[in-house]
Amino acid sequence: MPPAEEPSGPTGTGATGAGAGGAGDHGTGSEPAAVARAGDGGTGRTSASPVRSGGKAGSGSGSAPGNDADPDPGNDSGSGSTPGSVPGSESGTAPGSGTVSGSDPRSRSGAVSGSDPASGSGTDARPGDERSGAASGGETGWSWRRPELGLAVLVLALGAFVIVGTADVTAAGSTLGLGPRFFPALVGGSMLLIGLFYVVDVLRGGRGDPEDAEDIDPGTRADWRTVALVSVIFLAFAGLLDLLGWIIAGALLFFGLSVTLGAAHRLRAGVIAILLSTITYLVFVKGLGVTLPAGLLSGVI
Amino acid sequence: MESFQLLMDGFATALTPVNLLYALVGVTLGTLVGVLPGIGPAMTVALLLPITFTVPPASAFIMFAGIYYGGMYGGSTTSILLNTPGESSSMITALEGNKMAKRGRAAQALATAAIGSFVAGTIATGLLVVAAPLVVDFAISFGPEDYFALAVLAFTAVSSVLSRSVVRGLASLSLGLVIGLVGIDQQTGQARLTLGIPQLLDGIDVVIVAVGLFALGEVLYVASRLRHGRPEVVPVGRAFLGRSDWSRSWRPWLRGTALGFPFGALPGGGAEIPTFLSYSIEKRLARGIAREEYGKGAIEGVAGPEAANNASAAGTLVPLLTLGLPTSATAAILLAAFQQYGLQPGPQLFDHNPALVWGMIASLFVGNTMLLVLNLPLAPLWARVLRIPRPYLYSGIVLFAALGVYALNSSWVELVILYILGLLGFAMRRFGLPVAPAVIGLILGPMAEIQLRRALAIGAGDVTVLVRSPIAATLLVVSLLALCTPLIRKVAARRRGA
Repeated sequence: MPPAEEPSGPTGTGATGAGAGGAGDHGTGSEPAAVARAGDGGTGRTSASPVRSGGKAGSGSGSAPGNDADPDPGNDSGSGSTPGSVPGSESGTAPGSGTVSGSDPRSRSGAVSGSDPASGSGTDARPGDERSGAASGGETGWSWRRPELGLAVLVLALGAFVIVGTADVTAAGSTLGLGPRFFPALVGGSMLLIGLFYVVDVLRGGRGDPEDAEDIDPGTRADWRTVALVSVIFLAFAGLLDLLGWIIAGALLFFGLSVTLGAAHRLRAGVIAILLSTITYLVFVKGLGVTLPAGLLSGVI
Repeated sequence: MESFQLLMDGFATALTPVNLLYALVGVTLGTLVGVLPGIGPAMTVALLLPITFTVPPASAFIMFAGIYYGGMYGGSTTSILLNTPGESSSMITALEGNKMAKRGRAAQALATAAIGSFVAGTIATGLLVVAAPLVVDFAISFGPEDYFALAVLAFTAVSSVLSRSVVRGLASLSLGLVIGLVGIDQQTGQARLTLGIPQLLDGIDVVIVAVGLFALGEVLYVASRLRHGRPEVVPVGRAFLGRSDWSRSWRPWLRGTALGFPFGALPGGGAEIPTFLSYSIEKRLARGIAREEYGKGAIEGVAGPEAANNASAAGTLVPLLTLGLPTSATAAILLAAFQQYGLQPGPQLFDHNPALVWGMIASLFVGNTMLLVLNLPLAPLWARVLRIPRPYLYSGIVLFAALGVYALNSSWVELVILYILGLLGFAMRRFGLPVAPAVIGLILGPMAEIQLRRALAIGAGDVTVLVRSPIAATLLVVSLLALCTPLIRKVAARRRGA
């Protein structure tokens, strides 16, 4: 009964994970933690751990923290999947060790090579592992956790930004500190505190569970090219909308995105794009009185 | 029986031909969009919010009521026919529902979900009618410190209950609060955090945030790891229930309703806990064939949680309408919809705008009935919607997201803001930051600020004013408990693990 575990489980594991993470830096303390983890980790984990111990035999210490680096088997290890890649990836992950060698933080496969400070040997062993599994793209606790640090730092930075950014707001005639700076200071202050806890949590090996969704395939690695293309198309749309008008820009947006996302028939995608943008224009502008730019077609429609 | 009279007046409003049409459009659109994979009820309401800009308030809310319930129905169809739902509240439905569907009992699973939702929705809306005036009577004496404490309770409850990691819930909440701070301070007219961008002076519109975090964030997330290949949709005919299915379903419906409504009405209660509770209670009570089938597609495991889900949706409306307190992301967006019309839900709304409130409540009954009529025969159509090729589906979502945001102020700058928020939504999904606390923080933050400043102004700088009223003190203590409970559980778990 997976749902039973879900609400309480991850929090629990997160806690233990964090605890173990601390211990994990020292070889000895970590091994039992790894075992415990494999226990509550359940299916995905167990499949991974034997492989790991094999691949990482040289550094027993390395494997334990690696283990708790991805406390949730469901998402992560599922994607780690390809046995060849797992050992290299998972083993290296002593939480808190900052060293990611040659990893591209943006690509989950690239980030595999988080190195394990506890065992220098781990770093040596890993590239080998990695090469063996690199083709399949190992999904690791590291590659998830490293970028998460970015989000945690963003929270921290936003907290500071809120305080600094509202410092110059003049509180007109307010003597009690209840002016326009009061609440932002409260929010900013709490945010600094939350951000700090968040950073510490990430560093100690805690991580959030990537959200499930109908069309998400947790078994694949992140496709950054598609994300970048979607971004470029959308921003180009935003920039050109006023010039081209809704019908043309909207059609281009739809066409570009559907081709990027893998539409099989370009012609069909094009026809749907033009139909959709034209119909929405007619319905919303003529029917519902919403303002959309006519752009190049302003005389025509 | 004053509320009964008011409800009858509400029906008089809701049953006019025009409003019936709006209700029908609402439930149809709500179901249609809710069925679409990747779109939960909150996103459904957010995406459809712009459509109501040109509609008079009373009709708009009748339409919203339909969209709200319709989105709920749509979600359950998706989880039964497609499995792996994104919405955590329909996760439980998928457990047994999808297994039923795979065993060739999709029609029964959909029927028990639809009828169960109808039963639960109708009973729970009835409870709403009874409960709302009581809460209003109680809340009429609330001072600013009480409202502030309520907001704090909503913040902490949603952050700690709805997410698996308190710190992540709070981080999400704080992101929402910051977004809510942007713009001109309502009391002093000072610009805050606008970075010199004039479009930010009015603040970032809730629609942009909701559409960005939900729709664009989802599309970017999906783009990063799209499941290729055709989605496996279980084929289905007209939904129906056999005699034995009826006798196995009605008790779980009622139990689910009893669980769902109170949880929905509590801050932080949400739909996840009651659906899960209902699932495990039905499992424990299962006898005979049900016991054998549990885990392989037992109808009780669909009937109970679905009823709980819908009852909690109605329960959510109690704090929303009577206190202006959203307890779920969907409710937060509904609150934003009220604010678009310059209306602030709360005790005063019942006083000043009884026609609107009761019209909306009455239309919940109407919409529920329409949904039942619509969903049983239309199940095959919804199944076909699920087969929309994903590239078109997600491109369409982006197109409509852009349309909705551009329609607000005809500004391309807001489209860029939408994109940035989309990136944020993407990051939050990827790193397991729940989105609901951010939305609630965004919408409730400004209210919390006003009430806090008002309370402190009354207290002339004395901070103890915040806990002087017993209600506020109690609420703050409860919020503290909400924050600490997961911590305590964590420590306990660690101790057990050690």
